[in-house]
Amino acid sequence: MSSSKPPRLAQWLLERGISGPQREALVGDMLEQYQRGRSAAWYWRQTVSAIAISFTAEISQHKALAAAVTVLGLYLPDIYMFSRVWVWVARFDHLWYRPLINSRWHWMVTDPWAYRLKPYLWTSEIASCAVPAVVSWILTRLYPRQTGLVLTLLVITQVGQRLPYVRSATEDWIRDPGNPIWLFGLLWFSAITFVAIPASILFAGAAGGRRARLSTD
Amino acid sequence: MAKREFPGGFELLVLLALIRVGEEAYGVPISDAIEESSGRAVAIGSVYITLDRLQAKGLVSSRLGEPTAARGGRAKTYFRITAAGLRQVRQARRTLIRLWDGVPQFEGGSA
Repeated sequence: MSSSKPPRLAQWLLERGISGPQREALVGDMLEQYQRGRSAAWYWRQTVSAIAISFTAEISQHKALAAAVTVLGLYLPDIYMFSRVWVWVARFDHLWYRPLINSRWHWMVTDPWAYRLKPYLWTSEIASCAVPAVVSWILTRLYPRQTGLVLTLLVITQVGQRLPYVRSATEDWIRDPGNPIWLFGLLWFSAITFVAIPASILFAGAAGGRRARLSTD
Repeated sequence: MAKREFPGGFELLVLLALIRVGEEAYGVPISDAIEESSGRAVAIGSVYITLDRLQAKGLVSSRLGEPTAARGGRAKTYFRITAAGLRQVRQARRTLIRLWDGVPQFEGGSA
């Protein structure tokens, strides 16, 4: 027998990952089925398939928007890398670095272990999450009925572009598995790629979509 | 030859399930009816996408029910088959029976 509440993450994803006029009915049906004794695994399977089905249908119904979001997502790193935004981010990185190297915290930059944390690059890592998050917020405000399509495409394009870093970190670790620094690098890039960036996009998109719905109600 | 819309395999299953369930047809009983008759698990998402498509073709109509606490305050959407939908199902049945008739592999009830 299942508990009365379905897996929270799955429900959160379901409510935001699908679009269309029947979203409320579908979410309600799944909750009703779950309370009748379906398992958490069943709920997760249904959630993943509902998001995939809705995503495919949305692409065919909104081809122009899907193409625009894909192109924007693919060129987003280039846009902020070659814009003034990146110059300002780099300045902030520098502001971090100088006080660190001249302080008793210099080991954070010089120690090989702490160096992997790249404290002087945290601003850049934050920017790599914040810029897609801002874009996600704007797009879901503009297209609140296509939230699922917009968020899924943004997550796919942003995660896809970080995969070479993860692959490179994985290769380093496989080459020298005894050295924990490579394992740390792999965990670091994986956390940014698979957790921090998707979470930033999803949370900002959820906030943008909710705000847009509130202002139209 | 005039082009005739013909419901696809899953569309036909959903239409037949709608007829079976009757007035109280919404996502859960429709999925249950298909699961019971086919013996396969059904993705509720695919049932709703199919219902949307059938509604766009004018084969199905829908009405919103009352929100209930058991569904987290979310309303059911009830569906019913339209006259055009019924005609399509009858046409599909006639076509399938005509195609089946005389196929040697199905003679005598064995496949």
